[in-house]
Amino acid sequence: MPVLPMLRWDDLNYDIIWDIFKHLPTLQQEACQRVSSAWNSILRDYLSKSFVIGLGSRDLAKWKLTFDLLQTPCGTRKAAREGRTRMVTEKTRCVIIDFANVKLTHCEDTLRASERSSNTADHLVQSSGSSL
Amino acid sequence: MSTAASSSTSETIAEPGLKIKVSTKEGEVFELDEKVAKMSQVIRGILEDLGEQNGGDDSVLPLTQVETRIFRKILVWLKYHAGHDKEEAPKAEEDEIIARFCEEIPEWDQKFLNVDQAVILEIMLAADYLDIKKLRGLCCKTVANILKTKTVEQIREMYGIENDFTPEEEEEIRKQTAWCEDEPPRQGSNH
Repeated sequence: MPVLPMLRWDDLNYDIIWDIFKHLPTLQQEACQRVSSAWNSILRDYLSKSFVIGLGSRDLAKWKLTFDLLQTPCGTRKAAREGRTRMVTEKTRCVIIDFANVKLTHCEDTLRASERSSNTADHLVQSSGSSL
Repeated sequence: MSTAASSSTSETIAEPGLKIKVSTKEGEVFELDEKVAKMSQVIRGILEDLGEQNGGDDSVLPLTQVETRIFRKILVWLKYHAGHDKEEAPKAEEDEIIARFCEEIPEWDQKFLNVDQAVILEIMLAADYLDIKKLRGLCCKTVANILKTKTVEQIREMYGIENDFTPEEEEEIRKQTAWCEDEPPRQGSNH
């Protein structure tokens, strides 16, 4: 078999890269932002237009509100009506809740640790644009 | 029954019906069944623009961006799916999203794409050029499945991507995405 020249990632166009990222779990999409500035830019763009509108946000208050809404089917429908998420089925709700659990746990742990160790909690809340 | 591993090189189709001739980047000419050819939206569009008068004469559609070795592989895929796929109604956006989470790559396609990643990327580019959405999507999903198993460093190495962040930028992004390193909690746990 002939040796093929390695096709570089840079050879792929933006649309294709976007379509590849679409197939990644959201957790992995976030992690892949660390690869390079180009990946960071594309993924931030993608995540900001994510189908989960509320959960694509870096605003902790929006995250918490959306997460709380998603805890019940009724809340999910409310979230959908309010445009926080277009996902309304049980199957996809579970996927989102799993995802939201991870991020909220981390954010809340970080916040608690900050409160304990220093007075930086105010800064964290301000930078996330929210108050829990 | 063809297998994914086979790569038939004979493009002479015995069945009657409209035949479409296409040529690859190297100028090699292939004669395709109309049904197979029209799985490419680009070819379908050209034929519609030409009023489908192409098949009856010696006109050849030039596919200047597709190398012969890649086109042969794509042809294997097209012929298999032309014979096996059912007509599907377009899915609603939400169904598409669910499918993205839940649908596995069919076994035949997994075998078909069980090749060097450079070849997958070339098939992907050719499928994009020919506008064969299903094949392009399968390639994207296959690459995504490979990415899922890699660390950031491994991804950089695999694709020859330079880490072009400044130390400050890298630290900032690391902080922003630190939560990704946490183990996901079990579903139903309290928070």
